Amino acid sequence: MAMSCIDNNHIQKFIDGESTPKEAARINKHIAGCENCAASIDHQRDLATRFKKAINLLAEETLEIPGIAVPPAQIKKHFFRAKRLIYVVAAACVLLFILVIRHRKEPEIRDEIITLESGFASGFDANRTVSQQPLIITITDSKGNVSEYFN
Amino acid sequence: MFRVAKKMMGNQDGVSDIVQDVFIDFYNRLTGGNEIRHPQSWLYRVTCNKCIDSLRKQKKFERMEVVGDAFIEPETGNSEDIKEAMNLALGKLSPREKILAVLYSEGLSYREIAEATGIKPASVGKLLSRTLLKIEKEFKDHGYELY
Repeated sequence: MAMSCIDNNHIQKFIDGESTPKEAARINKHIAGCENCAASIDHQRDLATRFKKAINLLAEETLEIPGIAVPPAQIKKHFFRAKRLIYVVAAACVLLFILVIRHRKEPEIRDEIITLESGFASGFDANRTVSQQPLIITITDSKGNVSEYFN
Repeated sequence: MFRVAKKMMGNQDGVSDIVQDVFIDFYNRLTGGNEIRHPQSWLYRVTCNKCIDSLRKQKKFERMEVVGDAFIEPETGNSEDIKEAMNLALGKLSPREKILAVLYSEGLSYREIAEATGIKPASVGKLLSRTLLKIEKEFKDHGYELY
């Protein structure tokens, strides 16, 4: 082997792609004119490939990973969460139902009564108690009919 | 990690136990407030060290029973023979060489191998080259070729 030939360390780094670009360039340039080093690189590359293939036979057995067992406490927690959710959904349904019913009734009242006014029929008499004051209630419906009620 | 332990232990039992131990150590270390700078390297290193320890313990018992090295019939052939030859070849290596060979076969870069083994990154190539040639020689000594 000549002085400028590549040592085993650099051959190994070269075949494993661990050489610096400068080292790789020097090796490529050298093996173009040195059969011994080119043969050494081929042999070491071949050896590494065969070694990896052979050693991987030792680990070819597949590993079976058992399923994840959830602890009972966690299951219980989930169960209670689900139960609580059912109650919440049921309560929400009832509330929604009530709101829908109320919402349907309101327009009927609005259709019948447009304005509702109340007041004292002939001004406030200071000599009388509130319960003795004559009151008037004026109701105007959707058709424009005005109804007045006195006490 | 299972693959690494499997290669390190060869046909010895206890691979799953070792991997489990490593994960328990890893968990305890993290929950104990300790920082692991390179988790992957740490896991590989601890796995390899536990395998070496386990093999040392098992060897103590084996010495009482086995006289001399096991001999393999020099046949070239099936994967079982190659497995056995590989186990013997790996058994001839020093712990450091064995870890190096196993991690190399897992496709780790030189930097990762250096982190996991504590070997200087600049020395990884030289040691690997020497280790591979040693393994090849062991195969030849037993009448095998690496296929």
